[in-house]
Amino acid sequence: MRHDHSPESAGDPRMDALLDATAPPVLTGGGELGDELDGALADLSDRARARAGRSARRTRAAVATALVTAAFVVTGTSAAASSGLLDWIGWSPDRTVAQEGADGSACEQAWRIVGDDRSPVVADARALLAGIDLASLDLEPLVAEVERDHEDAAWVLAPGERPWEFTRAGLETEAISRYVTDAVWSGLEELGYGEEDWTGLSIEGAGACTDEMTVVP
Amino acid sequence: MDAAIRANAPALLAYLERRLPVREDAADVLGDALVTAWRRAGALPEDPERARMWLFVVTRNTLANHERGARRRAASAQRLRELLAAAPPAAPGAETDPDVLAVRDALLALPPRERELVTLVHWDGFSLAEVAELLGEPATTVRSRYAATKRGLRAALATTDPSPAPDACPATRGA
Repeated sequence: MRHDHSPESAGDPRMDALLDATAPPVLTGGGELGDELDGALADLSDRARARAGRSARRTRAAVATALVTAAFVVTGTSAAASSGLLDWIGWSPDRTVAQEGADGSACEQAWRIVGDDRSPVVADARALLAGIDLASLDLEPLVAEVERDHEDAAWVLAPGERPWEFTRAGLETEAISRYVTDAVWSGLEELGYGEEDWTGLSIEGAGACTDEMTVVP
Repeated sequence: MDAAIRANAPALLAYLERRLPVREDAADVLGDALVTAWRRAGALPEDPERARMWLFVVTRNTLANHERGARRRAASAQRLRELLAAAPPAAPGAETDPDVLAVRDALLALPPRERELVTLVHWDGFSLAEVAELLGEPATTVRSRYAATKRGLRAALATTDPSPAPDACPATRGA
């Protein structure tokens, strides 16, 4: 253990030794175990990197959704569930979902697969997107995950950086968007595609959600 | 990022093992910490020592989040969980020393902030300057708190058991 030999901390080697000895034992490397530990840690890091990559893709989609949502609210348009949303975003979606709140507010989200239309991975991604079952979606665990991720991110903000503040409707919007985009990427992985196959492939999302909502497929 | 994680992952794992009631949970929390680190890879300092401190800050924050109730068990951590569950802890027997047990009890009775300060020094080997950085507090404040906490520990032990008296057994201290 390293100890400062400052006036405040010096002069009590017995106490230092006793405090050092209170450290709970931990798994240490050495021999075959060292190789196993190194391997397990390397494996964990590789998987964390892959999880972070998937999360980044989800976050990009969610941020796009959030930005479009904000812009839509600012315009003051009240026909959120109408086809006006799709006209406004300026592209044809491959999948849409309408949401209704208990107070009668209406929301809509849309996604499309962008990539080389001649590529099989694009066709498969569109099929996966179209086939996602949103009717039986349990939203609460997904919202909880979104909240946890925001908490994680808030804990490592740079000095002066302020965390975003999300409304309940915003959290639900992001949760649905994550579910949809993650389902597509996971589905592609299950079909045998890898990172190298989907270079140039992206999922674009947009939505307009103004209040509490439930999924209406 | 790969190199920084390779260099620091064992120390990060040990840090978590010492603080989690269920040792194997260290695998899950480390996995979450590494995900966060990878997400923010662009913020990783180039200097290896700064990178080490950055990774410890991320890991400490992830642990705090875990302790607030956000529990996840990821399949990606399964291999490390199994290793932690199967391998015997290093250096068994230290807890049979009555003096160590008395100090450990006094340590556990400290308020969480003081306990964290002391354990970062004595369990993880951080200097007081590094502890100040990890906790986001001025170094002078941390030095004062550390000195006061040790005085309090000595006083608490003196009232319960006179055996761990200062200078009774000069100990060897590592680097």
